[in-house]
Amino acid sequence: MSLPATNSPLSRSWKDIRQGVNPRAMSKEGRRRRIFAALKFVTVCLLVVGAVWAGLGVYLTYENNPAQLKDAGPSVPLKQVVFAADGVLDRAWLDQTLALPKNASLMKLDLAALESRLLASGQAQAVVLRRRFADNTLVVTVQERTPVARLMVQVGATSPRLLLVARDGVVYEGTGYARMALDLLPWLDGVPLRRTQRHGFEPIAGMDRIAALLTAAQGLVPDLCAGWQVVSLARFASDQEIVVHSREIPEIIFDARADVREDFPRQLARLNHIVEFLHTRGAPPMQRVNFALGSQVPVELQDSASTAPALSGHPKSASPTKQRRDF
Amino acid sequence: MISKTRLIGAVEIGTSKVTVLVGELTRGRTLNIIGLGSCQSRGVIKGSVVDYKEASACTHSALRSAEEGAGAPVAAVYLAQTGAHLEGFYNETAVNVNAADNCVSAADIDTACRLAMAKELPEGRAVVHHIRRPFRLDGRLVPDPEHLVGRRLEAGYWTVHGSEAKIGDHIHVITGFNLRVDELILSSLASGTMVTVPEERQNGVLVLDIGCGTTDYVLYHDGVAYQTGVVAVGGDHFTNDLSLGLRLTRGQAETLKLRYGSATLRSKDKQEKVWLNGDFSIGDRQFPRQSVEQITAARARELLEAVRKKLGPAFVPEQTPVGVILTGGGAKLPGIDEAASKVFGVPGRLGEPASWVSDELRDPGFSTALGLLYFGLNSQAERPPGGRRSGSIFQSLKRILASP
Repeated sequence: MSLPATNSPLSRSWKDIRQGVNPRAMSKEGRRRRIFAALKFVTVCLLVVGAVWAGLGVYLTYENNPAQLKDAGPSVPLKQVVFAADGVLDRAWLDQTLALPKNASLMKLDLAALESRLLASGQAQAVVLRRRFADNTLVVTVQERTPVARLMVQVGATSPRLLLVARDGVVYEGTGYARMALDLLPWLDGVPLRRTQRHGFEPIAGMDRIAALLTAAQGLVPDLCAGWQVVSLARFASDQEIVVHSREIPEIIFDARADVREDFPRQLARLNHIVEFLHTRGAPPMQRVNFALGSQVPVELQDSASTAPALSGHPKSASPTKQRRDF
Repeated sequence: MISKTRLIGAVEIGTSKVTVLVGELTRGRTLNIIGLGSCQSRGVIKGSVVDYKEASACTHSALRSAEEGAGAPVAAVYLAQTGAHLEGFYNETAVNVNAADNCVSAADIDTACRLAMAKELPEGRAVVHHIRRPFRLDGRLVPDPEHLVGRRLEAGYWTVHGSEAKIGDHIHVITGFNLRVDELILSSLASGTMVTVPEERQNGVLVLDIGCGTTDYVLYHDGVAYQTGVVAVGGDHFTNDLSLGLRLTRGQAETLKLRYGSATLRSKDKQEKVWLNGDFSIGDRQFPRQSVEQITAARARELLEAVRKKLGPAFVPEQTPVGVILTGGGAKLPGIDEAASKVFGVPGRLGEPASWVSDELRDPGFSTALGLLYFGLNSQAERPPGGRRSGSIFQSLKRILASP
């Protein structure tokens, strides 16, 4: 029969000896370690209490006012704005567009909103805003659009407005351009403008072709190009044709279907050849020339009622037809 | 939960020197000794603190030195305990297996163990270790009787106890440095674990740790510490005998002991003389070498016989085939192994520390401190497999001692 274990008292163990010691009985080093341990304990306690306090604060703020957690901390006010643009926009335009309040805080600036505000003008194609904390500066870099053509628009009873059209078709009010530079731009015609919800206009399709044509013309036939007054996209959507109205030739029709990089210079070379050919022959001015019929280029003169294929194949092999007796 | 890296301090407050080792225990498996502090002991006689301030000053100096070497403070230490006040006794109890199918349950084992440990000690005594011997189930030795079938389960413990006041003095020297004593380990168990391997402990081996003021011994049978004890005779007695016999100061006698002392008579020539200093200084004189050897050999024989006498019938040469292993500073006395072999009638040899111990610590005087760290490593690596084991460090020590 086993005896109940609970009735057997265990003897006193060395572990029952109290390990605490009177500080006076401690050595100098022991007291130093004791103080250090106490300080360490207090520091850890304070850190724990601080962490709990902070955690509680964050939790309560999250519960009561979550938006406050997203606010940036206070910072020094904005000292200056540095502006750089690759076009005609100036500091006055920037100040007017940004409309920053006085003593605005650099940290509190909503860069995304400011960027949208700058891009809304249309003239700015790309904008980079950067905070420079070293000297509390906002750095604004703007890449501008270059106008290709101009438009005169009248909406309702308001006075007509001059608008510019960029290569990517964006329509905008130009700011800072010299009047003379704008006068050199051709007018754009035959374009159905559609308003957007933000009081602007939707981009115009086909402007890249017009820009390519104008660029080629300015390089190859600058004298002819200087007389171009109106560029029309009226037949672009249906026939892929660009119609140019110039002072010398009332109607020049360009083929915009083919690869523009190769075809516009060829068409312009033909035009130049025809103009020179007719000029040397003392022919009357042209009324209409059409490059949209492939190898056939019908030329209509101002005093001739009939139109006939005048040139075919290489310009050198061209020979006047019966209808074109004046060639 | 074990942290990845833990610093363990091992402190031995001996009669001649205080040794502190700092070991870095990584993941409970790897032990690196990263700090060593040692200084001459003061205020300690025969392993007991007699001058608290002096003992504290030298112990704290060694602790500081070890911590500086380790580059980090230790939070707790394992403390070696020795002294003539330590005694031991064996208590055995038997219980009948309760289950109807005679299958031993954990409750039966727990009951047997509790009863075996339940012997009350006199006033002022405290238990240092309860070392369990293998269980006996119907007379047969079993390391773990759980789920075995039998009628009568016997459990026995070798209980080591000491003066509560003297143990408290040792502990307070450490706590005076604002350190906690995590475990108190008998010096003989620490050094015995260090200089023997489990196979030797299983076969039967006697380990003698000859210190300056005391000699600790532990007798291993069946893989466990069968008996431990302390004899209040150590290296200091050799010096004292030489001092009295040859009329020398203690310093001179110590020098003579270290140079010419021997545990056996080696010199055959009675006329052979040795110089006290050998530097032709004033007062330098000659002594017959045989006289020195006779004095030290007589004391060595007396010491070994005292141990043999204290072991009593527990020591059976036939059950101790591995022999006597000697360690501690006193083991450096030439011929001590030969003398031990004669006295005990079994082979004697000097203890060798494990191969991983660096050259700096291979001296027999470091075996106890190393054993404390070795104990720390094993106690961290082992985990209690059964529910009846509490998982305390003490239990771990018991498992180490009982491991085959």
